[in-house]
Amino acid sequence: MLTLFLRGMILYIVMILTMRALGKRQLGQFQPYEFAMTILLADVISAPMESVSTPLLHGLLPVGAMIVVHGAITLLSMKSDKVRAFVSGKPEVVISKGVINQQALDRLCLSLSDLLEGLRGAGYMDIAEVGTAVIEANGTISAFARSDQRPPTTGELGIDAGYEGLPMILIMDGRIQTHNLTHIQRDEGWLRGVLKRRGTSPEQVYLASVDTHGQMLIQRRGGGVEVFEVIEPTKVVW
Amino acid sequence: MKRLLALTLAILAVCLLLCVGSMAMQHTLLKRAHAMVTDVFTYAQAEDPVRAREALTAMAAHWKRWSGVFEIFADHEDLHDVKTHLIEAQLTLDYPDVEDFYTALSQLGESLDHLYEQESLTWSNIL
Repeated sequence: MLTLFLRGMILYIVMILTMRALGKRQLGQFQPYEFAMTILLADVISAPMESVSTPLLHGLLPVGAMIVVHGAITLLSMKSDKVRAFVSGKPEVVISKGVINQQALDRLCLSLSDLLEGLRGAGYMDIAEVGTAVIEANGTISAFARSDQRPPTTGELGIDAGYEGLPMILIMDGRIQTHNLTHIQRDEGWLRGVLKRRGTSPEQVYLASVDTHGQMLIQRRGGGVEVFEVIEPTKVVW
Repeated sequence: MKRLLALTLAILAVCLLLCVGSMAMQHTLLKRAHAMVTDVFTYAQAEDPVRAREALTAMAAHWKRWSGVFEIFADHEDLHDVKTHLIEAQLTLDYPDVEDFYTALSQLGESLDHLYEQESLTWSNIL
């Protein structure tokens, strides 16, 4: 029994390491060969986990083989478009200029109801709003509104919205995020000073962040949100 | 990309090392075990029970010494079969009916062959 328990732990760690080794792509976007690998991985790992009479290596070696093949396919796909098209397929435009491409749908063995379902998933209730839709290689539908159906951008309206980058989290649940503080070229003393002026301290703050407009957001423990400027927008460095 | 290439090559190297190492070691150990079983058979055929028992004891010691290593690579059920047939052969050596002994000995040889063949790189195993 203890052996099964220990094997379960070892194989779970191996599974996590394998998923990490495969990179973030594996978790978010499945290409066909990645999908196949994920299914096989779960099955292969579970065999020695269930039976003590199966050596652990009988599960680990096939995982190693799959990582090698997966790595080789990924590297070849990055080097060659032909290999990539062969193993992952190509994106297919199914709506162009608002017109459904029936031949493309037939090629993909997709019905009209599949397409409508995909468009609803992409946030379009009315197909008349869609200008272009693409079935991606991983099977998802990407849809884009017709130009007369989408909201105008700030650029089109002639408004300068300024630079918008990633807001930096400075305090999470009372803990100062020193890496992010360094990234915005400030230190803990500066943060404590800012908070002291607002009558609080890092330990009393649930969440604090600063955006690329220099605005700091503070949410104290137990509620209460404040937004105020701490850095001049021209002095934002990230 | 370099990281992925390095990782892929490193895992390939480790896997190949394990496969080749396990194959070479199992083949050597199983060949030795098989030769010991053949010795037992030869002595039994020559009606020399003392030397047959000595050879069988040597085989049992060989198996006991290396069974821990085998357990890393081979199915434990198959290893259990070898152990069972080995004990059967030891027990039936003193039986008046030699058929029981020869049956146990042939089953022992067969279970060793099974382990050997399972590890062999052959088309029948791959397909």
